[in-house]
Amino acid sequence: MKPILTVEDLHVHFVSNSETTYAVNGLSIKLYSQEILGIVGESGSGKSVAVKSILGLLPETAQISGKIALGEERLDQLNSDRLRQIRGKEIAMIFQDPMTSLNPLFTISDQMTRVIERHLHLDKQGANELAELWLRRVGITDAKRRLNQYPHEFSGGMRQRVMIAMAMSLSPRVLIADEPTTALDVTIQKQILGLIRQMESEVQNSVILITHDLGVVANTCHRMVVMYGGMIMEQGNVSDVFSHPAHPYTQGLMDSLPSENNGRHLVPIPGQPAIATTEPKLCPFLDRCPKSISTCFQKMPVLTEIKQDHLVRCWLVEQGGNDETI
Amino acid sequence: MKLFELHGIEKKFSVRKSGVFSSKKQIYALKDINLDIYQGETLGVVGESGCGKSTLGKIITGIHTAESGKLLWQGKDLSTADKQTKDQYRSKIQAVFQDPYSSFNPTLTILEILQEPLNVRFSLSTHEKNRRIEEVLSRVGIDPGLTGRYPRAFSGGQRQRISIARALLGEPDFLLCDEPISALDVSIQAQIMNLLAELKDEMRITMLFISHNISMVRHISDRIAVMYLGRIVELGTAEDVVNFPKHPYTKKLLSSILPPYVQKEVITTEEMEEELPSASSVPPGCPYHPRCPHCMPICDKQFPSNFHIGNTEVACHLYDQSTTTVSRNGKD
Repeated sequence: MKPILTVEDLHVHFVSNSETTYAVNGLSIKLYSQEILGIVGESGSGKSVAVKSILGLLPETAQISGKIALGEERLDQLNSDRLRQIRGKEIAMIFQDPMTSLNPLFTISDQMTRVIERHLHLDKQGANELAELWLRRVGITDAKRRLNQYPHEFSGGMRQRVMIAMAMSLSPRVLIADEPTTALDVTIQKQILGLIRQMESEVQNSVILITHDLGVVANTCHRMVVMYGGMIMEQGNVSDVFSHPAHPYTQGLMDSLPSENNGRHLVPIPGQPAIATTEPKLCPFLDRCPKSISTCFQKMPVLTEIKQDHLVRCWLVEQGGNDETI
Repeated sequence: MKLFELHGIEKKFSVRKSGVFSSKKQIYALKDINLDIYQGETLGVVGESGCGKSTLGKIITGIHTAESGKLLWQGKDLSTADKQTKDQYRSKIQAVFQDPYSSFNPTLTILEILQEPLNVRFSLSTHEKNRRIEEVLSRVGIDPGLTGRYPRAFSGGQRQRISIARALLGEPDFLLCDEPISALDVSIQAQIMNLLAELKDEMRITMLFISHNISMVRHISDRIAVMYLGRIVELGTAEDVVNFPKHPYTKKLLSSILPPYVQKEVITTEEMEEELPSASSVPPGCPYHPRCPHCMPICDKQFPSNFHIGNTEVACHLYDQSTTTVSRNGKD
């Protein structure tokens, strides 16, 4: 099967006068049609930087190298006109805080129809009808009246639904959702994630869902990628990764959550996530890893397939068995 | 022994109806709160945004004052207490908030920040002060050699440790933790939760732990209060509330938690809800009735009184035996 979106050996560095930050270091991702891919990571893992580079949304201080392709088209080589056509129409993005992505001075109708008119070349009336249809599809019943309201008249969950409607109204091939439910209450979170799943199956597009919340990934995504220090530590089908987490970092994330059987004391990962200011030569998780072995201090592990489609970047796995501790 | 007793606490805020020049209206942040907090316990408070959980913490710590009702500390009514009692009360409570960066003065070093509570509270020599600061910092896992640095030089988790250290310097009996881990990375959250749990055991501090993260609240709390639009709708032991929820809202909250493992049932859009009631438009009767799957004719007319089911108190008409025979057991 051919992937819809391919990212190959992506490197993103931010260069300032004093230092260079190595945000993404050799990331390769394939997104297939009709799948929801979860990217999990803590702050500084490079997850947001990576997807922003897909759409060319990074500031000019970013030095990007690598191959990014939508189907056969190389996005990293496009001029800004063509990229503008792709943003929204082919690849849409929704962010954590819908209030900051909506203009408070314009009605929902203004903002939705402007996008639709531009990309789908419909007239005002046609655009309005399409906007209304999509508001209804995301569960806003009183869509006609709601269209003429301003963003502040919507609650956080409803605003996020508007954002989803706006993104989906152009039927993009890829939807990128960057922490779409982090600012929402749990009851609303579940509804929004359900909506993203439903949209994905109705429109038959693909979704990249970025989150720090393992519960969100487990219950929404088909495949997942665990990122740390700008690299993939583990990737695979959600059921495989959750039932047999193979990387010490993935295991650490799971152990640090309260559950029925880990009692009064949680098992945190020691230390804190760091952002690399030199080019990473060793496993970025090394200084926090409770299971490191001597090989870890010598060279960088490579992503290794331990089961079909289940890949792990760790020397423990390469040397057979991940329970061995030295 | 009861450390705090809250009787019929109400708190209103006035907000503009629409623009800058429109008239003001009153919205209830807390309505008729009756609650005891026992010495040494950790009471968890959960609820969605706007339910009044932070306001409750601010009333108890004296940051806000209630419009009506009584707040008793060690049996003394704080609204009528003399200055000496109030000073005592203030010296025994501390708070840790969500964003440790905004609770520090960015122009002061960590040493200066931590000296402040000691300067106000105790007459100690500089040497003695620094010794105490070192002791507390080591306890929370911060290298005491770093006190010359400014808050910005520390990560979120470290700053939260420093704000816990600052709270501990005051030797509190009571610690308010208002979303203390919400801004932190997953791997750091467990570190801070363990630190809080250890401190609680070592120092027998009474804690009010407010969070929207129900699994973390369950993890650290002895009892849990569930709030909805300014009211406590369910109160019981952490185990009872989580494993045997009574109120339909508690059940809804618990079923919304996405556990960190793959479930058989995938999430669907069946239960999509339209605009939810907010604090500025609280529905009459039981405020949960428009969302409640068990809504009965009485529910939009009258707020239910508290019913005792085992050790749990629940404010829901379903449990009023004089009006209904609906099964009360089990999860929905």
